[in-house]
Amino acid sequence: MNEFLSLKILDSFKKIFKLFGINYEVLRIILKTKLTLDLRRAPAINTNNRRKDEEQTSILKGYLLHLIFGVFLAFFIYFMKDEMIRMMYFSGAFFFMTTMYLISDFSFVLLDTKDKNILLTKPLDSRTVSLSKVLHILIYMFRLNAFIAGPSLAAMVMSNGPLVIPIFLFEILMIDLIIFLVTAFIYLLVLRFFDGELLRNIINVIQILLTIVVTVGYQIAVRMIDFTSLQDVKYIFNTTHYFNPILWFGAPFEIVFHGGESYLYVFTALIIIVPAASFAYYLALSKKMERLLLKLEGEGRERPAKHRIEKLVGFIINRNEVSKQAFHFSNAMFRSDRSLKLKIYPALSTGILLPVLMIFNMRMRGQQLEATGYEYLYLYFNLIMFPTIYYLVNYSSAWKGSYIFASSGFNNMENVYRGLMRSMACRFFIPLIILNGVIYTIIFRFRFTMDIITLLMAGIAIMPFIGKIYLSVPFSMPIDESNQKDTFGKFLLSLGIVGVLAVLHFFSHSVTMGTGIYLAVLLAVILTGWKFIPEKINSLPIWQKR
Amino acid sequence: MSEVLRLEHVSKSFGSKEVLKDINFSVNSGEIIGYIGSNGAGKSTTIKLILGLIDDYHGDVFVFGEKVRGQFEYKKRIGYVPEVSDMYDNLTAYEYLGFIGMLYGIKEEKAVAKGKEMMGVFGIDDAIYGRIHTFSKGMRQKLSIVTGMLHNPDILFLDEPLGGIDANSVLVFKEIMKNLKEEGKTIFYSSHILEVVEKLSDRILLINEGKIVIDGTMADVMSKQSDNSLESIFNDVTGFHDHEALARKFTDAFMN
Repeated sequence: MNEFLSLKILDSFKKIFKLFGINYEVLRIILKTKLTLDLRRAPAINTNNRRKDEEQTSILKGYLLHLIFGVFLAFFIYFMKDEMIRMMYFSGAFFFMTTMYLISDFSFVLLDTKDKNILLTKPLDSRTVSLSKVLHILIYMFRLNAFIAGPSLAAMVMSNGPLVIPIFLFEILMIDLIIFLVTAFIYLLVLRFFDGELLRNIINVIQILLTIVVTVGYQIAVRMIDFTSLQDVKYIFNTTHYFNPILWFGAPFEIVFHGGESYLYVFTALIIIVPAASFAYYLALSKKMERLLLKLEGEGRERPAKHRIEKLVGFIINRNEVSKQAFHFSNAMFRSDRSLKLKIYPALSTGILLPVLMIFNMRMRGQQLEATGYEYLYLYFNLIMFPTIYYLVNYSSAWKGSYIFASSGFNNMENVYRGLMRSMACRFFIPLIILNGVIYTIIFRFRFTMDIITLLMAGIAIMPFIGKIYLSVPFSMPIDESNQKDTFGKFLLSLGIVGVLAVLHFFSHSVTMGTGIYLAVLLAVILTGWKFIPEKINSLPIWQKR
Repeated sequence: MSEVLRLEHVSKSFGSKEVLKDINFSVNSGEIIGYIGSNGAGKSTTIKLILGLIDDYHGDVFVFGEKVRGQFEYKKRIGYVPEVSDMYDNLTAYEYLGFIGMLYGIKEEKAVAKGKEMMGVFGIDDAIYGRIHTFSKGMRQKLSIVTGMLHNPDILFLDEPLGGIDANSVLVFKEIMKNLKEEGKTIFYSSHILEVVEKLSDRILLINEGKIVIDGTMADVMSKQSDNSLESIFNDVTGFHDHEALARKFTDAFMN
């Protein structure tokens, strides 16, 4: 275990802890252990290319994305001249990012019941144990703060002088408190009325959203914001603003630098009163929270799952028993494997956004949104997402269950692939293309309808071929290792297939009835291609080693 | 009685470590074999090899008289309950039963109905719509037993099947074993709980450091031993006699 900066800082408050009768030495050891464990745990996002021996540098590496966001935010607010507007943007973004990160990376601390089993069975003061939990979360939040808000503080100092530092730091502390409390209250509410499974699902959805925001959000943000117009925005007060926390935080700056109206003092008071009051309320509730947390340990009983639509679709499109069952199996896996969802949905979202971004790009260059006639080609980015998804379905967090494919002597993989790919089409690919189709129809009216239908057909047509390139036994490899395999060759091959289709589509327009002919060809490819799905040997190399 | 399983000169290494060294034995139908040995002696490896989870080994394995390397048809008549109840545990028990049914060619309705009935025997049928990862250790193991036997196999490979299972269910399980034997099923039972092995098995196979060192009927093995317990035979064969000295050492460390 190496020394943590945060603990060294904490050491200087040693006397205060002792004053309150806290056993500081024990507290420090508990915290040190918890922080070391954090290092060894991969965060929900930014797990790419992480190797086990990189522990030492991983604190900084883990926060690289936060820092990028922080710098971006700092740039953004630097351009604004109105204190109220500036802090509104800052606190809005800060609230959002910190809450998302807290929920996605740190929920396990808030919701941990295991550390109680370990710590409270030892002769430790329960106050020390609960304090260690709060401090653990605070250390995490302060680290986040440093990277997300640090650059903005620098920007503020540059435009207003060092006087902003104490105000800014105090406000950050108050926002942290609000975020922590809001998160705790939400959990409390969910646990009060539902069970732990739903809470885990909510956390999973937030993790997925965050990953999407981080991977594709910047690209949109950078393109859509017009920096020059931000300088002139002026804040206009309205009484409803009392209820909107993100508007409060500009007030102290406005008072200090420009002198103030009375409502600014109300805002300033709110900044102090609301966190303080809710913190008092939280302390009163924390016993209840502990009790509700026990729900997480209990068995989650799902209501007898209906999934009627899936069942019906499965019944209609699958003629044989095995592919129908494989279809249901794949659906159930995609529905319930949270780690897998965390990889698949962000990848899909890139597929949705790329064609749209391309159109926005043109707009940015000052062109009219007049269609040039070739925009349908951007939609082929949808098909480029296929290989990633195909690659991922070989992985699962429950991969150890895969021994059964070998031990059962099952030898009808062809139909399993058929069911699996139908499930992938229904869950991922067809909705992806339809969604993009809808967006295109909104922008370009019905100009590309034929092309969108053709693209849908092309997507279904290439599925068995991409499957032949990528699929091994589905859900049979550890999801944690899904970043490590070098599959560039396979990707190039898939890219080639998509490329050929795009070129054919392009040339089909220069022939009379070309699109019709192309559609007919695709239909023929679908009918034959889906008949010859690769029958692979049922081998599971990973089990040879165990 | 006919021979259903035979291993001939089977050896297996993981890297430079030789786990199985020239294993030879055969099993007849209707036998209950107690397969015992220390941790790391090669028990689970033997079973995985017979099931084709590992196919990179020397020697030959015959099941129902056929060499099994590269084959799969024979597995339809084999049931397997793995040591750690690994499953696609993010599925509900209901979904998992349907999936297992698919692999063994059983219709979903039948697989679920049959599975639910078998789960009911162990008192866990009301958890059928629950996700498996929310199950307790014992519930998982019970479900693992159910799914390993769903397809009416002729040979059962049970690798420590009773871990975490309550005493009443253990009683039921032992009766089930007896019934299955009467139905002519063969059971290959690997465990560290020697009392259970002693009560259930007709025949003992003891593996030590990758070699079969004892192979005989329960009566034969017992008669060669003065104090008549499988435990003392196990200690003898594995050359373990200093348990008292070791316990003393632990106690001393404990007291310091």
